[in-house]
Parts: sequence; structure tokens; C-alpha cells
Amino acid sequence: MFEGLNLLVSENAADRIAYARDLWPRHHLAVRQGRKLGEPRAVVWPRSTEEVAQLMRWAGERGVPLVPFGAGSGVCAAVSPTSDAIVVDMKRMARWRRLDTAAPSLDVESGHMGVPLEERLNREGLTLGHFPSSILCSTVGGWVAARSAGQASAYYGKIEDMVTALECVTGKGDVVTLHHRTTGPSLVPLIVGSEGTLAIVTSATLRLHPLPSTRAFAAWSFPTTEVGWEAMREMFQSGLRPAIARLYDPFDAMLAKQGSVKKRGVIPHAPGRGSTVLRTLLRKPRALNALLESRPFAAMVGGAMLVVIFEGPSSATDASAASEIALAMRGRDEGEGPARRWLEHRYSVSYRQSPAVASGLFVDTMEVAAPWSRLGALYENVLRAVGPHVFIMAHFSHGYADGCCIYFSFAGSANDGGPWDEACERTYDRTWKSALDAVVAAGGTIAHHHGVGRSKAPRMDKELGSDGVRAVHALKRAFDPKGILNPGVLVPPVSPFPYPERW
Amino acid sequence: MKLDRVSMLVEVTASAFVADVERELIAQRLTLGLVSTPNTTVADWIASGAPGARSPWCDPADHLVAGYVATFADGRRVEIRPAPRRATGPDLFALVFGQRQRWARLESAWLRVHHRDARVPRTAPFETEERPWTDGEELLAKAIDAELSAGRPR
Repeated sequence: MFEGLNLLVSENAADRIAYARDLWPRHHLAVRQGRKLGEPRAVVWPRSTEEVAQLMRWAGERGVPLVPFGAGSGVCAAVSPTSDAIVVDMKRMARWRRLDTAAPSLDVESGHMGVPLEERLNREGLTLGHFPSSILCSTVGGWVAARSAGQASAYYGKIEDMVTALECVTGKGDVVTLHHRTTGPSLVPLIVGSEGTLAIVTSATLRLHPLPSTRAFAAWSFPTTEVGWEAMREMFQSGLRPAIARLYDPFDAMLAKQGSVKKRGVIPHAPGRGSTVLRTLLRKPRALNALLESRPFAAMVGGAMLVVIFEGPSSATDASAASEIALAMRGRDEGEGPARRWLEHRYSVSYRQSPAVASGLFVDTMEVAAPWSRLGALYENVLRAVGPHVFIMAHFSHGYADGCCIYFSFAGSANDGGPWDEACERTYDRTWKSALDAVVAAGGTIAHHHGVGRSKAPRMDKELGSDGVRAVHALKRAFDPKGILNPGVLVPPVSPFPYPERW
Repeated sequence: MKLDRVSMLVEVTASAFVADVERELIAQRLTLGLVSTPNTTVADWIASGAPGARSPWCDPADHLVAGYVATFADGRRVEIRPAPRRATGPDLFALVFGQRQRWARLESAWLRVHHRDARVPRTAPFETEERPWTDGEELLAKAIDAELSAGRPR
């Protein structure tokens, strides 16, 4: 089949199974049931931009769908290939093309993994400032594709704020370099966030920063989550830019103070008595949520907690200014400990998903955002909508002067009759349908940094309007006239998809 | 002009003059935070790439426009609710910003406003070269021309 292509290709069954999905939790539920997911026809590992262009032209001539693949850590089913598709794993393209230490910026190939990139930059005295929770299992191309955010986005910005140029191969097989222009036209923002549907990104030129020489740590407790976010708002609107600012609701704050969610987790590692209790408890989550949201509970566990870390030469004075704001708003000083502990365990929590699934539960996260004036409605709407279905908690990270991202974490199990795994899936679908409806009703955006994939594609008309979705279709035709790039992702599916089409 | 003081955003019609918006904001101890205030309408200002605005590299976590309404050449109207950031596909604002109304006309915009006495955040110095529009970019732009005016869903 691949004659004439000088590419590294595998049609091996193990490879095809390994590349059949990303980390969308509903994929995990399917796997737990032993249900077979769609496997691609083959996996390809291009080693150069020319090989990507060659593959694109070959696929275009034959109408073969291509699914770009970074490291597979996406959580929205952007990797869900059909049986005729070829997955294009970019990790063999991981060279540094040009480091400009004066600017400073780096042109790096898109298959470069996150941690080795940051470590090598640090040895040069530089940082990208991009620290997504998935940094251990994500690539530069994946960050660009999903419009990713790092934990320090409040100072360094999201990935779209770091890209100065992109080299990519369009669906026609043309190699183009797109440039950011501060006051001129730029096509870069069309590719960033396009999730492999318009072009395959082969390299990105990224803005760098000097490695910070100092950090200042601080944390405060607040009687309620709302008072905490008001303090956070005041900080950002006064011009402070903490690299890290995370506000935890009372339950999440209790876990963060104990460090338990980072060290041991609240969810058992394997099936056993603990998981049986948890499964039973989560069948009726409404009462549990009501208890944990109550004021007496908030008071008992010490309220909400805001953790901040400032970086750079003015970090100490910035932390003092933040402290003045927090204390004036009934904040109680918690010292440096919570922020230091958070930094030490900043990536640990991402590895709790599989043990939860193995225990017969499911867990997921939803990252939504809104202007500050709508944040309360967004928070309350989602809690009210989702609370009957799953146990839910939240933290507020990725703050900005005009608004904030709310990161909801939820855990659920089967809360109706029938076979356990199927009932879990029904709970999962009900949860997401209710949650996305609630977000739209509150005037929020349905994704802050996880992207859309296939899982939220049917809701894009609520985000962009039907004319906005048509504009995305028009862009798709312009960049990828044969429609071979990741079909079904971003805008409503055009190919078979083994999950409900409308949540 | 509709001010959301909690979010520090102001909704303005695209036909408003930037200088008039700034004058009204100053009366409320607020500002657009521009380096220089252009004597143009908001529509023309955005279509020409917002000259006079602070470089986005100075404070990467902030932005100039949080939401907008725009009408495409074929009459379709896109309304994007204000949000600090989003990850919902291509940023369609790229079809408006700096494009001199090639593809879309701005109808209204939610602009970021600042307290006049707020400190001005500043990261390490960084600037990019304003490179000329390349042949490859123009080729793609022509394809977008054709598809946006065709306006038919696949």
C-alpha cells in the first residue's frame, strides 16, 4: 500500500492499538469494558518536513485521512482515528533548528517533548514558561494544536502568546511558514488551536524568557471561594502578574493543605474495599456535594485557599503587594508552605486517572472560562447542573485581568440500573451534557486549554454560532480542500464516531 | 459604550472613535492603556492592526479584544462572547485583526480597560520583526477569499 513512499511505517497490530486513542476518559471506559476502539490502518513517523509533505500529497491523491499525533495526552478525543486513517506521529521530528539567545527565541520541531525541551533551555539560562500538567507526555506540536495553557500562564501567557512563527504543511501538501505580526495580518492564530484539521505543524518559533533567578511564595485562606476569587481579581487588575495563582474551593483546599491529593490521592490505586465504598458513595453524589458546599463544612476545613508564586527580580515586592490585597479581603496568611508543596508536586495529580478507572469509577476535568462578572454564574451553574450526577470540586487557575478559568474535577460511578460499565457511561454523558449546557447558559467558553476534539465538536455551534462554525468549515476547505486532515474533529462529525453525537 | 467594571471590559460599537472611547474612560479614571491614541474608528483601528497599542509581548497574559461581533463578506455574522482566553478551534479574530476588512467587518468589540493608576506589567524585553506578507501566506489568503465568499458548508 505504501509503495513509492520512503517513510517509516508500521501496520503492526500492537502499534495500531497503541495509536487508536488519546486520554479522553470515555475511551478508558470503553477499554475497561473490553470494547474495541477504531484502529488506524497504519502509523507513520516522518523525519522531516519534506516527508510530511510527501505523505500529505500521497494521502490527498488517495483520499486517506491523516490524524496528527504528538504524545497522545489529549483529553477530548482529537485522536480517534477511523479504520482507513493513518496516524502521523511527529516525535521523530524533534530537532532544535535555531536558538536565538539575543531575542531570545527558539525554532524547534513540533515533535519535541516538553520536559527535555525545558531542561535543555534551562541549561542555556532560558525558559519557555510553558508548564502544562501534561508536560511529561506532550509535545510542542500538541501544545500548538490544542491551544494549550501552562500552569504559569498568568505571567507567560498561553502557547498562542508564545508563537512567533509556524512552519506547517497544509492539506494540499504545501509547506508554508506563517509569521506573527504585531500590527499586521497573521494567519498564525488560525493554525494555533486547529487541532490538526487545517495543517500539520512541523516547527514552531517560540518566544523565550530568561530563567527567573528568584521566586516568592505565598498562600492565604478565605472564608468562601467567592471572597478568594475577588482577591485574585483585585491582584490581576492592579497589574500584578503572579506566575502561579490557584484558588482552591474548600474541599480541594483541604486536600491541598494535607498534600494528600498530590501524594496518595483520594482515589484508591486498585480495586478493593476502599473503592467499593467510594463507588457506593458516588452513586448518590447530590448529598455529598451539598454537604461539601455548605458554609459549615467550609468553615470546618478552613475555607478556600489561594496559592501564588511570583517570579523574577520584583517577586518579593509583588508578593508583599498581593499580601496587602489578600489581608484586606479577610484572607488569613498560610505562609509559604502550601505554595512550595504545590510546586514540588505540580505534575503528580495527572497520574490518578487510570487507578480511578481500574477501581470502577471515572474521573474527568473540565476547564472553562468567563469574564470576572460572569464567573459566579459559571461556577454556580455548573455545580448545580453536575452535582446530581457526580462528585465535583473546583479550583480557579489561569487568572487574567478580565477573567479566569475554572477547572472542575469530577468523579462518578454508575448511578442508575443495568450493567455497571454501561451505567457509568450514561452517567458520564449526562454529566457532560449538563455541564456544557450550564457553561453556555452562564456566558462562559466551553474550553480554556484542553481544546474541542470530537467530544465537544457538537457544541461548537453554541460557542461560535452557526455562522462561526461555517467559517471554520470554510477555513477547512481553504487549507485542506480534500478534507483529509483529522476529519470529524472541531466541527460536528462527518465520519462514524462510536459515541453519542450530541451531549 | 457599555462598561463591565468588574471584568474591566468595555463594549463599543465599531463606528465609535477610539479617542472618544478613551475620553469617556478617563472621566471614570480608566484607560485603554494605549501608547498613542489614534484618530480613527474602532473598526479602522482594529482592521489596521491596532497601531498605538502596547506590544502584546510586554504582558503576554493580557489582550486587547476579549470578544467581538463581525460580519463576513457573504453577510454571515459571527458573535464571539468575551472570554479571557479560549481553546475552541482557530481564532477567527485573525480574519479581522490587521486584515483591512479583507474578509470581515467589525461591528462591535469588547476592549480591555485598565485602572489609570494600576501598575503596568512588563516581562523581559522582546520584539518580533514585522516581516512582509509572504507568497505562501498570500496563496492561503486567496484560498480563504474564495471559501469565505462561497460560504457553503461542506
